[in-house]
Amino acid sequence: MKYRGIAPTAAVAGVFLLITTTLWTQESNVPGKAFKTCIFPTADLSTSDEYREYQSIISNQLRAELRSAGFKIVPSEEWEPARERRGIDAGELYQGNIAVEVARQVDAEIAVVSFYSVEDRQLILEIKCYDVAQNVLVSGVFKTARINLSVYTVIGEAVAELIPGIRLIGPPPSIESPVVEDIALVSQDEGTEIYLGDEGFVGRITNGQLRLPPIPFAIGSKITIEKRKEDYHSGVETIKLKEPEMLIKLKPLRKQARTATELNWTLGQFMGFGLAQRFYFQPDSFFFSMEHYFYVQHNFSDSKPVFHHDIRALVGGYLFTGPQATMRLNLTTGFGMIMTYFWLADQPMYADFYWNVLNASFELNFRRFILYVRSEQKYALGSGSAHILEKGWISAFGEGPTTVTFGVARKW
Amino acid sequence: MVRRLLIFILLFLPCVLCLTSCDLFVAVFSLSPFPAYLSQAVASVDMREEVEKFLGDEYDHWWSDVFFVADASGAQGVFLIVRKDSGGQWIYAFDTSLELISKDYMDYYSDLHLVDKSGIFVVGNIGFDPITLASYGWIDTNAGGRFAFSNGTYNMELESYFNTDPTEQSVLTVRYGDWPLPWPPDTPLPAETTIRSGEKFWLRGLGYDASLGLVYLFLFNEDSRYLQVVETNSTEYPASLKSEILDPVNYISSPPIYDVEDRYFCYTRKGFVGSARRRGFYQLLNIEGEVLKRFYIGTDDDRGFDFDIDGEYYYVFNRSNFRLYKANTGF
Repeated sequence: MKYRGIAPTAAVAGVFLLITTTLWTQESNVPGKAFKTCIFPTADLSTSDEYREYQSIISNQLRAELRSAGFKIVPSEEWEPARERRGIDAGELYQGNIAVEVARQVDAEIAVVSFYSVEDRQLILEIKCYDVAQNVLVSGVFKTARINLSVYTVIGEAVAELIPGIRLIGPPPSIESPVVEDIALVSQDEGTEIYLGDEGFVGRITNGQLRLPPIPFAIGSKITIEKRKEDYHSGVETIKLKEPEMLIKLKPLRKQARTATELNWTLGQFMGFGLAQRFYFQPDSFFFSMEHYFYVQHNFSDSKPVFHHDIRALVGGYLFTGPQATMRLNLTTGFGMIMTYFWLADQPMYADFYWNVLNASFELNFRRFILYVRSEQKYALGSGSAHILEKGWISAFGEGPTTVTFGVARKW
Repeated sequence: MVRRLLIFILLFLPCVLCLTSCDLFVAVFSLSPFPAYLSQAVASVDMREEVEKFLGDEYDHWWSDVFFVADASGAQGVFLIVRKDSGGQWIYAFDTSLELISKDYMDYYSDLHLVDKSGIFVVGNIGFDPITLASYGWIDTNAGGRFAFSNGTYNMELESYFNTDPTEQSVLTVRYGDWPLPWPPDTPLPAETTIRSGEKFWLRGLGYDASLGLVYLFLFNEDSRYLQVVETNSTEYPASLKSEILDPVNYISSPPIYDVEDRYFCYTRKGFVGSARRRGFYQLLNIEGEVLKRFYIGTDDDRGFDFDIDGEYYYVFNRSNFRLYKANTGF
């Protein structure tokens, strides 16, 4: 008996617990919990009225599914007055902007619009959900189906697919970063014009510095500074702004070289040296050069000196990197002549003409000087009335066309 | 300032002198794209007029040889052969100061060069007086090759061939006798000597030191690409020549020498000259196969130059400027 007395109480408590748990679980799993939602009537955009009954079918399905998913549905009696007040036709409520505007009047969070059309017994259905506050599409489905019993299944699937994607975007995060208050540029290039990204020309280096006009750059951002000065190569620097007050020391600009004087040594011609003068057609890019290399041939035993003067003209240019780069590669080609004379009696002065097929020079490019190593390929033409070399590659190593030159150049 | 300059010079000069005794320094600083004989030349002669007159307009179709010939008494001559592809060759005889003494023409090719059994210099089938270098005119030698010498009893021409029959032997043949040499080579006496069985050797050079009576044969193994030098006695030629030649029991021979090309070999009393495996470079070797010196001449021809028997000078003809040079070897 006592047992019987306890049993109904426990059963009621159990049922209550079960219902509570079920409700709690359902509510916590649905995406639309507590979203205040306006579901606007489904619009039939078909050319005939033959399939009008689907309007109520789709609307009812949407309403039932969203409600069971936890959305708070705003009754039409609440938003209808707002629509009328704004003079909006009921037939326009399938358009997102208009629907959002009406929903906003009743403080709804989500607006749901739907429309369809039937052509040749083919149903085309589209349902969209908007975040009212942000006026942003957050979920949408598009379905097609033949008009038969499967239409109801398709409508159910469309609504089911729609619901998981519904969420609120929320407002964009506000940026409240601190800004740089003062930027001063320091440069040794007096008179350099400074250009700043979108701002364009912002000033000129005067007395070694320039204070930038107040522009609210955020700390942590980067600015790109372009430096221009006549007879100098323009330079670009990107600087990260780290502090409210920045003192930026700009790298010096490189002067445009119009000419350069070279001093060099070639393997196989070490007892001598070469002097060359470059003339740039375009500063530090394309050039013409004249070179004179004087060297003595001697083997230090049972030998008398033989004198050679190698005179050549070259044209060439740089590849891949610009005048500011530390490492540069240039190619040159041209023609030359080696004059030879020696102490042996009854010897004329010889002249060997050659084609300097290709020189490839790797350079270390400093502000005023260039250090370089150059591979050279010279081909003796074997022509002329008094020549010594036979037609073929000129090499100090017996075979192979390559010899190597080391040099330094002073830019002017 | 002057004092500093003097100190610098006083320090600089000994350093340079010290460096010039360093092999690496000399090797690097004496490198030149120009032939080495230019700086080593002690004499030269311009043959442009002679050669151009002979060649006419056949500038691209000619060749030249240089030979140094000496007898046991010390008579010497330098001979330049210029030949045209279309036929004929001139032989120019110079003394060792490169004075042109005589010249003669023959209408076919021959690069024979030796002191024959009668003691005259025979170059390209033209006889020259060993003292005056005057031409004796054409001699019917009936010789076809370039490797020949005379031991005073016979004139001998040596050749090699590879016997492709099952014996697979490299064989040295000697044609010998008075001028003209008999043909075929096995008359009147057979003289075929095996160089080595089972390997393909070719005779690629011959050096004859008449004063010492030694004949050096330069035998090149074609399959394994190496050289072996054999020292033989001239009195054994032809009938007493032992077989096999490369058997160390029979003759002194060098070990295989690999770092040489099958191009040019020459005997001097200071060593053998062989062309290195690099264009224009040569090596001085001894019978032990040791490299005594590496040096650069600048020409890679196998016929454009020759060394004297003492190894003091070499003679080279530059086909670009038509000059014959006499240059120090530095050996």
